[in-house]
Amino acid sequence: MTTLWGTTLAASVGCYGLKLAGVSLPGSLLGHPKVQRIAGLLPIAMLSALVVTDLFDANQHYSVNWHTPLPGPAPARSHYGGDAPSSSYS
Amino acid sequence: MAIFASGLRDIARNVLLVSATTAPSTHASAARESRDAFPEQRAIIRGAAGIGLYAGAFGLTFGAVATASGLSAIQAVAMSAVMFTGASQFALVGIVAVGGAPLAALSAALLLGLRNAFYGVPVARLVRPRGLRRLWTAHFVIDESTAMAVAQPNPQAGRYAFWATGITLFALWTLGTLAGALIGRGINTSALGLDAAAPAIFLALLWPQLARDRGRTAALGAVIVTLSLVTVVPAGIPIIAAAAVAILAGLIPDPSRQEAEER
Repeated sequence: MTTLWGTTLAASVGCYGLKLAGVSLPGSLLGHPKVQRIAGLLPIAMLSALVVTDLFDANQHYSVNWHTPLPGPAPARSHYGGDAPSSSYS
Repeated sequence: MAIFASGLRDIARNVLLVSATTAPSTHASAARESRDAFPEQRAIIRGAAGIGLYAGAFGLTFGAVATASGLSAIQAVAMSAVMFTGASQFALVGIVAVGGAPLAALSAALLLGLRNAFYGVPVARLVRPRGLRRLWTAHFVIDESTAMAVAQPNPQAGRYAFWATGITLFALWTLGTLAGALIGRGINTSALGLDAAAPAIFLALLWPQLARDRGRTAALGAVIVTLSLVTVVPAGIPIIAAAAVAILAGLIPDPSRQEAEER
């Protein structure tokens, strides 16, 4: 389980670090229009990807039963699959 | 900050409007209101309480989903207490649940947490934290606390709104996570449909953003990229690829919008 702890702590500390940078850095740095535009689009794109990923989960963890045939199986996912959802985090 | 602030202001105004209109207009409450430090205080407290209730329920869901995805209760609560940003937490847990690589889960959480850095600009302007106070202030910077703060008509109310919302949210989010994590181990989450909670929450977080043309384009691009990659590459990678789509979409200049942004 140490990989999971490492990921959790790194992500938690990293997110806190982003907040700290936000209140510490000068506004001009973060105020660039292109930077703001990209930062605005990142959550949209990633949340969309997350929705699609979860709906097509080959692990069947989210138990969505697709009766329509999808093109191609998901063989690349099999070594991440198995019974335990945290199989890559042993 | 127009991109973030305008959307958040709408959310905050709706919260405050609902809490203000549900207030009893009796003589006693009018007398109470005259003793308030400033006129917006009561509306802010009601708004923060409403947001807090939603945070408790949302935290409960996160706790249950996290433990169902393979995290321990301690890990789930630690995430809520330290990371304290809903979308990133659900993203990490969602990628772990489908067996994604740790690096993909980490990257997704950080990329989704990037907007909190941008929230720091209006928050720092309002709160003006000095030195070590920055460490404490930063922790409470999230969507809702920033939204409530920037929606206020004056800086004093803004600071009050930031702290009231941030601290209430933190307490109820973390406690909710603890409850959800403990209860989650005892219930059959798939029977209750809670395992569909994470994608549903992503969709709910995403929905208001789709009102903008560029948002819809980015979402569509992300969906296409993810669909084409999801059966081919390890789990979690499509989400990082979607982030690349967002960066590309942001870099492409849009002449019609440039005038609006330069205002």
